[in-house]
Amino acid sequence: MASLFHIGISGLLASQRALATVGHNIANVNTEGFSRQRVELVARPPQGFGSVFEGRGVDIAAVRRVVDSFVDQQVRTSVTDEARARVQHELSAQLSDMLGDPTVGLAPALAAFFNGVQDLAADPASTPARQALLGEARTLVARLRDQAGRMSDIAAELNARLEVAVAEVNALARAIADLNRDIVSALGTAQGGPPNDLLDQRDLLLNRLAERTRISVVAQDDGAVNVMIGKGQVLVAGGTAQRLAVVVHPLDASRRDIAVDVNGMQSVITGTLEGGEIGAVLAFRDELLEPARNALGRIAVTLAASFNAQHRAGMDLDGNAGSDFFTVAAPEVLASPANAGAIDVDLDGNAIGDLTTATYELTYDGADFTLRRLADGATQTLAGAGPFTVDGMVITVTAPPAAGDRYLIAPVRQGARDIALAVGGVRAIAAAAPVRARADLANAGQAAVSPPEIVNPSDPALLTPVSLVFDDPPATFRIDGVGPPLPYTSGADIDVNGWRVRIEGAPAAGDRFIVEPNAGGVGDNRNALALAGLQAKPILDGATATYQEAHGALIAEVGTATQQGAIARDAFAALAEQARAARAEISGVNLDEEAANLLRFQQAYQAAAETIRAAQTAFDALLRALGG
Amino acid sequence: MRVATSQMVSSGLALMLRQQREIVHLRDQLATGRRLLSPADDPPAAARVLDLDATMQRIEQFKTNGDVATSRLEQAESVLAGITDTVQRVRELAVRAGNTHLTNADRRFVAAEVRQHLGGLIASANARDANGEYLFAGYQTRAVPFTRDPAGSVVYNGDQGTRLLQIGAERFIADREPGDHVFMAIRNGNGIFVAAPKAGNVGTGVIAPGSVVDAAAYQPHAFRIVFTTPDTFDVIDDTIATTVLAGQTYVEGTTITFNGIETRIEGAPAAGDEFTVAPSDNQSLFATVAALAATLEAPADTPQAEAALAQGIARALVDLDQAVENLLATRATIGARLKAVDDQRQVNDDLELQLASVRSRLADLDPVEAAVRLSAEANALAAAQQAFVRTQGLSLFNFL
Repeated sequence: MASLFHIGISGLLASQRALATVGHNIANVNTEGFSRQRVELVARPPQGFGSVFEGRGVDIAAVRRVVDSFVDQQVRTSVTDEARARVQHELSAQLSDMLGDPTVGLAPALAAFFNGVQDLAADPASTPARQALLGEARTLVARLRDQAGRMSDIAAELNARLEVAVAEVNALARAIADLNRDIVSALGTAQGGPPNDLLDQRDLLLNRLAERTRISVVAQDDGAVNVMIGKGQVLVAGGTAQRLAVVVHPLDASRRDIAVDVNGMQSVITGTLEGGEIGAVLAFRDELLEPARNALGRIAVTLAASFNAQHRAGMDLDGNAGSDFFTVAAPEVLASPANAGAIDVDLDGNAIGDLTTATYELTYDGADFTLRRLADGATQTLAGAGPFTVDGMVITVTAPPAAGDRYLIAPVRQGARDIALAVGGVRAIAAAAPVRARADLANAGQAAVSPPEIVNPSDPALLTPVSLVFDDPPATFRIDGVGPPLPYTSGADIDVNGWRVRIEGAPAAGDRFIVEPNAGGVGDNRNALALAGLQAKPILDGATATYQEAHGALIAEVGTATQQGAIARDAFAALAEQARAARAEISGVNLDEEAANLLRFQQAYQAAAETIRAAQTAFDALLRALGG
Repeated sequence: MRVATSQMVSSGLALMLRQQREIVHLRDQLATGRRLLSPADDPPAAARVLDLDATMQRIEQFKTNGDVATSRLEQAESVLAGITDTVQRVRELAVRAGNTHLTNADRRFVAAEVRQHLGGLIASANARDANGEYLFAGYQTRAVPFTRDPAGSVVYNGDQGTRLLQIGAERFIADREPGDHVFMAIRNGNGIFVAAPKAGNVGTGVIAPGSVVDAAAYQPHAFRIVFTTPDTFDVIDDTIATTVLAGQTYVEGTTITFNGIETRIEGAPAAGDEFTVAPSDNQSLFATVAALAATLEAPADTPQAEAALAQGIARALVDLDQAVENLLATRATIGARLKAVDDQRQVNDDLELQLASVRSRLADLDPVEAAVRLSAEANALAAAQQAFVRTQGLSLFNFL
């Protein structure tokens, strides 16, 4: 009888616990990271009576969560990929929308500016046309500076985002370490029964951590987990967590690195972090934002430098030689504070088309300088003392270097930010050429002279009047009628004093062609035409791309990255969704299932209660029989 | 397969969110009429559209330049047409003044009219365009191109610059002619050589302008016809100091032929009179007209003066013919440029149309297709929403 009581009570208790677990599952149906729990029951060891073993009821072996650690691992990996793809797409879409906007983008401003130059060419003496061109130039400069400013804003946002993400990683690592401690001690006191809800919490935190960066999780025998980031850098070991810090790049103050702080020693691990929000921010910064900023800067620098060169070959409304039209941004050189030497980097005016969108690292090993392109790692050795002419830059050593000197050179990064209008007003726009040519009115021959082309605007004798006088017979000519006779070929280039003319046709003996300063030539538009011609001239990328084509390439590159980012975002979102579905299939709460279990355990509870009543009835019957 | 209850919500929700994103995208496309809302929608097309926009803006500019060139060339053409008419009128006056019945006073009236026309010609040559720039000044469009020097002759202050306007990717057109080409650099005489009496001739011989009859034999040398007696003359080539013809008998009005040219002398030359035949020089239209006026103003009271009058008028007539020819040639050039601008405009229009259609294919939305897709997506979303609500309602707890 007593055993039936005990059996009945054990059944009651088991059902109670099972019902409580069902209730717990139902209560947590919408709890993030919750794994459904199940009561594991075992039959108590039987009692032997001679040849008979009598059952003794039921024991609660454990309450376990239903999980598959392999699926959990998959969820973590997919969450890392999903977060990276999502954040990277979000950032590149921001950049792409900014660059590609058809109304506020660079392309319309560039086209309008060159239309302004064409209008000037049509009306070189007109003040309104000059005013309009200055207006268009201001718009173009503002557009470039605005876009550069927005890219700087994005870069600053990225730095802030890294700060926040690293702070979150530190908080999560701390919380995981704390949970590790709690779990280890709970396992110790519970004699093997798992602390299910603590484990769920820890898994949830690991998933949150995996959204920031890729982690690898190694379970320990005592129930704790160790967490590694990057290339095996330990973030959490048992109950202790390492601290990450965001540090300023030693050369480039606008750049942030992520370092791990070990006993006050900071070692930079930026390059090893990938995946998650942090990986996305770093990849976007280095693979899209910086190249885009350099590409935009390069357009600005090339435009300003080539436009200036042509503008200097002209003459303004007051008869003065043209000056710079734009201010060209100087290459950015970031020197390590430990450097012994010093360098100067200038743009190479003769090879402006060789400028690349790269950022370079220049190091000195005691014998030679080595220039490394950061984007692709390509290096070249610069032997000798310089100046070194490379990739559209001229690097001049201004103080003797020592081994270990290090510089970062960004030749065009600030090109768009620092471009400005330099021309001194409407009258200073050099639409005319400084010299003109004429055939003497007394010429008897039929030869004609072309308008002079300016080959070298800085020739000191550029403005010296020169006559080309034909000899008799007119197969040769002399400069100013003196000097050695020069052979005449119709249509051949005649280069004197920095200008070039061509004489075509049959001159007569004694015919004179005069090249003289273009005094009063306010109606001359030759330089304006040459300036307008720059729009269609391939200048960038080694004289293969126009400004507009270089800009189109930038748009296409950012657009492609964004498009691929969208595809990756959707793909990884689907994969993460699948992984979460797989986990939910195993660990998620199904209310119908719980309802069924509720019925089941309710019935078992009622039956167990009946068992006790049966024992009671049997006991009463015995008492009645004895008491008669 | 087990399905967790929360999973039923989240997977259904994710599906609906995705559909909503698609619908918003379609709605934005329909609202803007643009297929490309961001470069990421189709990066190569987006870059191409930017290129096309820039090219179309350039073509638009070329068309504007063409319009500017047309208006300036048309203005120059109309000024030159007026000048041609004036020169023709001056030529008529010269012919009328040749009438021997006119008195000195009559000729002075004619001369006064010629002087009027000279003033008009200078004013026309100094014509300005709509911007106040001189049409015939070369590059120096802000300085008066034709002025009189202290001696009263007209000088050109401009230069030989021709301004080009870009009217096509590779097509440039001059929007004006330098004034010295039009008015100053006119070959005098018959355009090849000038026949003239030497100053100080005492006879009444008048030499005709002559013409080249044998171009192969013609050499641009300076010749002198020297009358040794009133009835005989020699022809001397001064350039190579050779006597070409010697002791020729002079018969009034007969043709004199040498060096591939023909001329004739009328009147009665005196012994020692000389006539020169030299290659043409440049002479301005204004100098020609001024010379005519001066000729007409001189009284013709003696046979020598009458001969000088006849000689002056004959010379003025050929010089004016040269001027008219030069004006017509300039106007033909301008006409050809106007035609070229017109042709280029056609080319530009065609190109623009072509580019616009390419651009439209790349960037514009097919509204019908987008509307169909929008309604399909909207239907799918409605179905998903219905299914979501229906499945959410299913629970065993409803029956407990």
